[in-house]
Amino acid sequence: MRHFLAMALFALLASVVFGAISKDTPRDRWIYGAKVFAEFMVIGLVLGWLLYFIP
Amino acid sequence: MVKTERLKADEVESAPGSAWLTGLAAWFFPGGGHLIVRQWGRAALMGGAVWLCFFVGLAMGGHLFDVTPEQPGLAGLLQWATIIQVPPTIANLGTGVLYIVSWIMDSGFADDPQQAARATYEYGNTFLLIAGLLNYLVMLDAFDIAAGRKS
Repeated sequence: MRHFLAMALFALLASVVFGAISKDTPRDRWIYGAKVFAEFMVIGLVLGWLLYFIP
Repeated sequence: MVKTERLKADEVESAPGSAWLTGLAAWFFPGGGHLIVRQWGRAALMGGAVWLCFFVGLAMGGHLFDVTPEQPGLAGLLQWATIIQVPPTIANLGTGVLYIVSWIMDSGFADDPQQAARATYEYGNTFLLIAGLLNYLVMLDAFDIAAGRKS
């Protein structure tokens, strides 16, 4: 659980900065930030499960 | 084609001195550059993210890097063990005043086996590195705003 929270916090902080520096309108920034956050989380979970099955 | 590109390159205005100062301030004090250009919301969001990332990294027991040769002189600087410390040091240096204050207080630099044994040690390292790298992005954003290249 601690690992997941660390990953979620990392994804949140990075996506806040990525979202804020990109795009032109606030709406697009929110959407891009949310997309980056989702990508971090999904890729992190997929990689975590892949590594779980690799001995 | 080449001529058109040259003309376009000539049209790019050089950044004013204030933009360089804003960039410097943004590096030194995370979020400070956006405060100077009066982007309060972005300063709070981006500066806050960098500060939080740094302190969470320290709280997790992360290690800050510096370039300390094991041997004195040029031979020490050219050792692989020293050279490999340069990239993470550059990343850590991105946090500006946070890194400098930690260095002055000798906080976070210790090579302590007990600290390294903590479950969150590697996470802490990553948070500290990312804090610096994110601040480089924040710094470039503040520079672009101050130079009028971005709104």
